[in-house]
Amino acid sequence: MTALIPDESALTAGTTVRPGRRYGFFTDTTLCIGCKACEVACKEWNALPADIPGLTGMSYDNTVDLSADTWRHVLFVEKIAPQAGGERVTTMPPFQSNWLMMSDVCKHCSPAPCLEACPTGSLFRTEFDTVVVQQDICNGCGYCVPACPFGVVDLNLSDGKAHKCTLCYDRLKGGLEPACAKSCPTDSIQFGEIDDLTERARGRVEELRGLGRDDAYLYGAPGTPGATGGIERLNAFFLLTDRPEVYNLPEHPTRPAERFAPGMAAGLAAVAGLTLAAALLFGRNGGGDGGRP
Amino acid sequence: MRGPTVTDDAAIGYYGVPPVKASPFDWKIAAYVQIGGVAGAAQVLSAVAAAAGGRRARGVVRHGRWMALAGAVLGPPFLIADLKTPTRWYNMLRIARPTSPMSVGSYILTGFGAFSALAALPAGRLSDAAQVPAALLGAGMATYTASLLSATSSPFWAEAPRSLAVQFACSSVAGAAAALSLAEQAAGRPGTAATLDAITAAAAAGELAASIASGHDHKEPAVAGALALGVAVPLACHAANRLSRRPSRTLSVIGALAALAGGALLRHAVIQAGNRSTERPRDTFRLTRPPEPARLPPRR
Amino acid sequence: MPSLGATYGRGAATLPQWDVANADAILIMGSNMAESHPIAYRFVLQAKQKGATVMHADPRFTRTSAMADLYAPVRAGSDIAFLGGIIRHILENDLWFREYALHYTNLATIIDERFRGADELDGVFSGWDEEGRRYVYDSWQYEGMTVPSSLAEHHVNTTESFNDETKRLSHAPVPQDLTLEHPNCVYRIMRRHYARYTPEMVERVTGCPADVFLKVCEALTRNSGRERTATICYAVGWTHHSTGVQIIRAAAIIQALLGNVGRPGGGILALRGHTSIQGSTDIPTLYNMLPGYLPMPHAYKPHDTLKDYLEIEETPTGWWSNFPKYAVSLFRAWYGDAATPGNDWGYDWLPRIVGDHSQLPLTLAVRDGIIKGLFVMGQNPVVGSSNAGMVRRGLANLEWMVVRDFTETETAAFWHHGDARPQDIATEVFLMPCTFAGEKAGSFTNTHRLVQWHDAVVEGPGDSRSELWFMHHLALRVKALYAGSTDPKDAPVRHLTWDYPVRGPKQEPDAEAVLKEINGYTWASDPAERRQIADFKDLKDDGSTACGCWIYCGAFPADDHNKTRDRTPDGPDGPGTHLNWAFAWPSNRRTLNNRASADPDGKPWSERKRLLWWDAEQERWTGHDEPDFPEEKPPHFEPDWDSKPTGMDAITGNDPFIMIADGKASLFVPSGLKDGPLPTHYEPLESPVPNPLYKQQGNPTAKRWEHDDNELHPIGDPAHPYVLTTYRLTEHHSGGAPTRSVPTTAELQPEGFAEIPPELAAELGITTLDWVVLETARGAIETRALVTERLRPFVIDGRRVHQIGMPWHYGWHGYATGDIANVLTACVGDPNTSMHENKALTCALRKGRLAR
Ligand SMILES: Nc1nc2c(c(=O)[nH]1)N[C@H]1C(S)=C(S)[C@@H](COP(=O)(O)OP(=O)(O)OC[C@H]3O[C@@H](n4cnc5c(=O)[nH]c(N)nc54)[C@H](O)[C@@H]3O)O[C@H]1N2
Ligand SMILES: Nc1nc2c(c(=O)[nH]1)N[C@H]1C(S)=C(S)[C@@H](COP(=O)(O)OP(=O)(O)OC[C@H]3O[C@@H](n4cnc5c(=O)[nH]c(N)nc54)[C@H](O)[C@@H]3O)O[C@H]1N2
Ligand code: SF4
Ligand code: SF4
Ligand code: SF4
Ligand code: SF4
Ligand code: SF4
Ligand SMILES: [Mo]
Repeated sequence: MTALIPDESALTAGTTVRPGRRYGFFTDTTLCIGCKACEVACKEWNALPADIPGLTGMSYDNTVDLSADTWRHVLFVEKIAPQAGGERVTTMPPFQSNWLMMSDVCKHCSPAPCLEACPTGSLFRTEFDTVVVQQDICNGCGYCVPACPFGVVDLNLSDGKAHKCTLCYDRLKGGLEPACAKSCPTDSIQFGEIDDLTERARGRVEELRGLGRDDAYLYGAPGTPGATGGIERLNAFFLLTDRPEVYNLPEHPTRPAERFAPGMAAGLAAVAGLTLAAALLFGRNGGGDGGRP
Repeated sequence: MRGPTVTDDAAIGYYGVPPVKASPFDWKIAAYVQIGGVAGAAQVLSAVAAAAGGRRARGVVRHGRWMALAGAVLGPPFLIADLKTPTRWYNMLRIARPTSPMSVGSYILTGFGAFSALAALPAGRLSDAAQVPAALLGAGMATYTASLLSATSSPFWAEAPRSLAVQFACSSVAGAAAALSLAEQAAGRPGTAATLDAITAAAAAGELAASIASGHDHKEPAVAGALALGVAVPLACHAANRLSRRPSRTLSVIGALAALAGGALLRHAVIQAGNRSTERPRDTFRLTRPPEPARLPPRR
Repeated sequence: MPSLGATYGRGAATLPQWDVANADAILIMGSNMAESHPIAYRFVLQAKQKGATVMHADPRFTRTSAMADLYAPVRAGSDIAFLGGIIRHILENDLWFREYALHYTNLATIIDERFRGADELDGVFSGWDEEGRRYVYDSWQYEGMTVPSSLAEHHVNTTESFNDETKRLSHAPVPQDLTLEHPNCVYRIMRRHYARYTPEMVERVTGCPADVFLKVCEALTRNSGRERTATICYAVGWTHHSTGVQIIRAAAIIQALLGNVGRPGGGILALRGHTSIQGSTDIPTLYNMLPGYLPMPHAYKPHDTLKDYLEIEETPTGWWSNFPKYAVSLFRAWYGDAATPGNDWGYDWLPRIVGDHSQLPLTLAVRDGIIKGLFVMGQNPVVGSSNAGMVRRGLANLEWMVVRDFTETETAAFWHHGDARPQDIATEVFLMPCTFAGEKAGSFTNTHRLVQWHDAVVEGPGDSRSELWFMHHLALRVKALYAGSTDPKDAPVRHLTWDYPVRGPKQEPDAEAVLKEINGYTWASDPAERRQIADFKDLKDDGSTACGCWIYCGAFPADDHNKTRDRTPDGPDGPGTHLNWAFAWPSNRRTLNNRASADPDGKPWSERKRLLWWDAEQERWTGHDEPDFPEEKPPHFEPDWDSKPTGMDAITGNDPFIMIADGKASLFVPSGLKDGPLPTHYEPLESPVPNPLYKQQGNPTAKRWEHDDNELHPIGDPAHPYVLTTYRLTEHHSGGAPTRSVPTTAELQPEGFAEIPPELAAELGITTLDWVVLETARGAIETRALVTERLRPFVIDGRRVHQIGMPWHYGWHGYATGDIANVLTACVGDPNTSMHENKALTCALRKGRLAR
């Protein structure tokens, strides 16, 4: 693909895209206004279909979840009456509060549980340190689906392949900022090199705390909730102001592959033990006929 | 990061939307797990019988080798049928990924199939030599499927990787011993059948211990039922036969059938329970509670 | 926006939207800015990141509120009480920016002694003519002189009754008492008028707790003055009322008192709606305006000849004294060589209006079969217009209707859906496919008067055609039909110039040629000899120039320079006015009245907020923006009153509001508004409560159209006890055709719903997703319930009042569907603009479904 504007991303996101560097998103929920431009931009760019199941009643969220057809999903949590039966708010802490909105996406984990689970190599790590499904290889085994600790990747039963955010792999190759980040009017979604983003994000947390927002913290940056249990960092990380569960995120996700070896060891030990028992039984009984009738 | 410490149970979710996704695995995978596990364990028992059982266990050796091969042939179609793009099953062998139980499992299965084929050749040096790796891989067959399940984020599976593996291993061995016992009974060798029944009982006991150790609060009735069928019945039958002066062939057959059926039901119930557990945000958030309370901001 | 026109002289946003980033406080009221203007809202967030206080006053807690520091809940239709309370707070506590307001507004001006305020007359002003239900404006004038209204969108022509006297403005300076002691100076009048708007009264009327209200006052006043500025943003949460114009007026008064107009980060950002809605008032689709806010000739006004028209409409002082130049240049552009001094430049060929021909009366005229044929281009009135059931019934009375849209809208399909009986409907409907923005070249005028060009990026599909194509070829065909006629009534068609070049196989007219004409050029019969004009100062009233819209002069300043195509931003270290990014009318000025950013001596009020200043060496105004002031008029210029100065010569060097006859912001508006010189709280025409402030219940001059199909509920009607307000969602656009028919936007809000506070839901046994029925005298609809704490019950004047909200985007076509909210609304309107009152009405609510 020849880019119309070389390195357009430098103009729109202040970062040039080069293979070999690590890219991702810093999603600052305190700047999100829930406009869903990111959701629509993602569907338009990736030609994803819409599912129209009807009104959900979940505040203004009618797409419910990340799925094979929805790679960006904006969630809405109403907290207008903060305590049960309490007064409705009128004075609020600076930046988004009391009606939380967050644009969720694949975390492009490092290491990535989905990728670690994939038996075909369909899921791979790109030259931009992102995690992408190659639909021409995926055989629809579906194993990546329960492997993901964030419920992101999903099978589309109409084509029998796994789908999820590609971090706009095609756009990155063309030097373009990912569609969702580019369309975000408030810069809640910031695209860039991971190290820059992490630094910026830590600065933003300090800034917010300076403004009295003790509740601001990072989720998914190294050493923070989300980057836990063998997952070193999420290349798409977040600034949150309430507990992770409120955003349907696990506080302490773990890397499922780490459960492989212990499980195997225990299972094989059990087989070994039973083998031994069987050997003893066979040996003592001489194969049986000489034993007790 | 700074921030006040919060210790309360934060099992609040988002309108009950599952925070993790269920696997697409259904009865076909359960069938494969059962067939593969029994086949693998059959190869193991066959090898044990060959090594320790002497002449009278030859029937067991032979049946075990055949069962192993049969399992290696019958199991994979279920596996492939469960793929959503089955024509691409061979991509499983495109790469080897040590972090992926499914990838490792593919090679275990492939190796197991190949060696079991050799082992099933008419008795000879080649088949005997092939049986050793076949049995080692068979042990893998009996347990890797449990690790495959627990190396996910589905809380029911991920919660207790060790006990689930022990459960599956034991159930496989119990199933294999039971199947071999049936064969021995059919061939009119109640003695070897009794030995095999003892192995079934031992394995069932192991399974029971593992299921208690797993700490799963058994709200899953199907799992409890599977245990009752696959553990309690064989144990009871075997105990009755042990205590009785005239061991009953019927009881032996019932015990063996129950072990096999219970094993199959267990696989199915565990897979269903795992899938369903993803729908309970509380379970996922319990699984992902930090070992030590993290320093998170206060709840407003 | 006649309100901003009447107060500041131009009916447009005073500042560019990106300048909001420089505000120290932002009050968003009457708009759900984050949802309806998400791109502009980024500048609010930028300001916030620099420490600004953001406030949102709205009946509902919205996505805008979620990002605010303060959320002030207000009952729909109570804004003037709230804003009047702020005005009182400023005046009583002496928090106004004295030096600014004293010099730059008419605060010190003395009003006619006959004037009586609403405080004395219990809700009406002196001059009220009960029989005619209108005001006589004489007692509102400046002492000893009458003040012509500034020409602006929908301005009222008040000059008839005192035409001769207006000349007096050029006889002497306006009567002022800078000590503010005179009992009839504007300051004293305002103090009396707003005395009753106490915080307690604000709470009683609006339902907003007094302490929350006071926090808003405090943040606004703390962030205004010499060093700091505050911006107010509004949209149709203010305009859609029978008092809409006066609500905005109240905000305009606050900003002028606080010294926030014409300065960086200060002013009023009118958030305009549809993509080029500002453009469509500049070059209007309004019935009563010619391009550039020139009034449409009126059959019942002394507009008989061009001379009469010009004399009557011309303002002798201030910028509008140039009016004849703009009018004659317009006629030259339209009639070309046919326009001559002998035939009044073709003035007689213009149609005359005879009354209110706006949307609402038009709706009734269609209903009553008076109008026989209708073009509906880029509108979906069966969803979007008030009293939509009546609209739909009306369409069946037409002989023909042309709909130009990209899909069959509810309007185009009115005859074959639901209970419609096609066999009984004779209307012939022509549905013609349009192209969308990206499929045609043209310009958009955005919310802050910025005219930006866009090219066609793809060819429109199938038989679709652009608006320009349609109008061009329609005009050519109509002209061909009349070409041979000698009937004088056909002269307007025959003499119209229509010579746009066309291109390509589809014969698409060249849009740039149209913009060139709008910009204006020196007149020559031979197009090759025309020269583009770069500045409206060069327009003439002698026929030597042609100009389609004087305020756009400079948009296409040279043959090879379409300035609306310019795309050079200032960059991070630049001044931030982005003068080389497209074109803003007038004359590329970004902030209106920017003379006010400097003090009377011409020095910036503060270094932090500098924009324009007097350069004594160069003897001219200079700074970051184009001066919205005569460039070389020194700050201390005083008119030579002995010479009876006219035009800009009658404006002193420190009168920044040059479009107003006396150069000062009109806190008190003597002429130009039909419902009073000062904003006064009236209840919406449908209200659950009597007006707590005055005996006068509603706006006495509000437009009502009495009709069986258009009944209103009585005050406090127990059958319709709830307040209903209607609004938008980010996820859909207006009548919804463009978003409901696109799956990726439809799925985001897939069904219509009504938002209900939990307290009311509990009373009526309603839970989320239940079906509910909403009903008014106009009609009933069913929709889903969304029970949410974002709505709250109000205590109004001691009683509990529940409020329901409903997005009005839905209809029966497309992937996202729902009943049409406008079936509930009524045709009533603001007296100045005839804008409907769809933001505040009353209704009944019950759980259940409609029997259909
Ligand atoms: N996504 C999207 N954007 C749009 C549009 C769209 O349809 N969709 N439409 C465009 C158009 S045409 C327009 S005109 C603009 C309109 O832009 P807005 O004016 O922002 O739109 P609304 O949602 O109609 O009304 C704004 C708010 O007014 C509140 N409100 C209702 N009654 C009152 C009242 O009495 N007082 C006060 N203070 N507030 C009140 C409502 O609760 C609502 O939150 O948006 C434009 N932008
Ligand atoms: N109850 C209630 N009623 C309201 C309002 C409210 O807040 N509450 N808001 C009012 C306001 S502010 C407005 S502006 C009106 C809007 O009311 P409408 O103007 O009736 O609404 P739209 O749906 O925007 O209609 C525009 C139509 O133009 C089509 N279109 C888009 N682009 C083009 C084009 O290039 N060419 C042509 N020919 N067609 C095109 C679209 O598909 C759409 O069908 O509604 C008003 N009605
Ligand atoms: S979030 Fe899930 S799908 Fe995305 S990289 Fe991580 S494990 Fe894979
Ligand atoms: S479904 Fe596709 S991407 Fe996922 S693990 Fe299987 S092969 Fe890999
Ligand atoms: S990066 Fe691209 S694929 Fe991923 S969510 Fe954003 S737009 Fe969609
Ligand atoms: S585009 Fe940005 S502001 Fe809008 S919902 Fe997405 S993240 Fe939030
Ligand atoms: S829809 Fe268009 S006009 Fe409205 S905010 Fe988005 S970009 Fe601006
Ligand atoms: Mo609008």
